Amino acid sequence: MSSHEEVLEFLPWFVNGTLNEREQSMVNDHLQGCRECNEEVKVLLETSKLFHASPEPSPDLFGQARSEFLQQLQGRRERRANWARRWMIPATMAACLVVAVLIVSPVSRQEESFGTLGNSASSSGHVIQLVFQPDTPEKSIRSLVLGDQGHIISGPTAQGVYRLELPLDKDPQWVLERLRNHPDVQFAELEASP
Amino acid sequence: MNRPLRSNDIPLGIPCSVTSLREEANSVNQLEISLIRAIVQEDRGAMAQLYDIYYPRLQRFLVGIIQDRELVAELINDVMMVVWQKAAGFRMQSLVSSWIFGIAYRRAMDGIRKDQRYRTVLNEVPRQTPTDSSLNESITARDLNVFMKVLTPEQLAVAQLTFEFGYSYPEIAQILQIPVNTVKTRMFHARKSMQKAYGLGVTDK
Ligand SMILES: [Zn+2]
Repeated sequence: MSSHEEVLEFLPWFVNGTLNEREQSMVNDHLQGCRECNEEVKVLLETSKLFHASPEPSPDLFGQARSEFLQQLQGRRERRANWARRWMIPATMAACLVVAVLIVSPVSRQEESFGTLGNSASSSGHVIQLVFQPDTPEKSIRSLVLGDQGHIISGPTAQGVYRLELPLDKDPQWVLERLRNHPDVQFAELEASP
Repeated sequence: MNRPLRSNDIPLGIPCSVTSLREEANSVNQLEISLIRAIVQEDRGAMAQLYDIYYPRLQRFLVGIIQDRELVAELINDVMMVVWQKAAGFRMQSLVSSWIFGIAYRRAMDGIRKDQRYRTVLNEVPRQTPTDSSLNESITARDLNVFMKVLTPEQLAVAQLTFEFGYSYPEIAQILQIPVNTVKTRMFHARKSMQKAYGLGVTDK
């Protein structure tokens, strides 16, 4: 059962001490009689040492990044509120806004559902209205539009609003959250259901 | 041949063992959970604390994958902003660190796929080709750079999470959101590449 190949695969996690009891004793038993696996353990210990020897990163960028982050954190809520107000008065919206549709890739979806309970049940035909940051580069717009997680049914309007229809299996609240939190998105709101 | 190694022998050879890092990670998880709870209540001080804890760790992790410090700093801020916004959705079903590393990994890979700047950076760093002169040299800290260059970003992430951050393979599968067998496969190829670069270890049979 505990073939040489199987044990060989386990060895990195034998070395880092994270195998479960059953796996651990299987490896221990095999090591009693396998020279090659013993050699491999030594090599992996060396490898492990190497990764631990990786230098601590220099703090040069830390201070700057940190203060930028905290500023961003402070400004977050106010900016969201401002955009919501502008949305209520579309005529005041800057006509020069560059608009895109955010990709909601399968990978990104996984990211957000990770560590959370299951998403709520799927819904059908929801439409989200979107406005994007003025500095969203065109090529990222293009790649965003290529995403198959929804499709544009109209837009952009003169105010730079796109309407994005979601596939049936998408949870609109989830997509909305995702959009609102994307750095390129200025505004995202669900249209009232028909 | 010496006597076979037993698991009890293992940490002795490692100055700063992964095992101890792991225990440390488990004990700080409680603190981190309380920070997350405060962050849900929009406590910016708690967010700053979490930022200070994670910046160095994420930098070590991401510098391997991205290899440009400024892009990494930008990416860390992006990741931590997701944490700020998503804290309420974190259900404590994994370690806080697994959750954050998972976000970081996916953002980094997204960047490589979609952001021209990341690709440029990666292209500027030539992948190392193993040479005869590197055979059997002892491994030193600076060789980590070589490892980073012979491994794909996906392989490097598995290797770092194992050797540097001390995660089990099921945890790595969870962080990277891939099957456990894929974790093992990536590790196997990573080991072969690293060891080929130094003429060490597992043969190609
Ligand atoms: Zn063996």
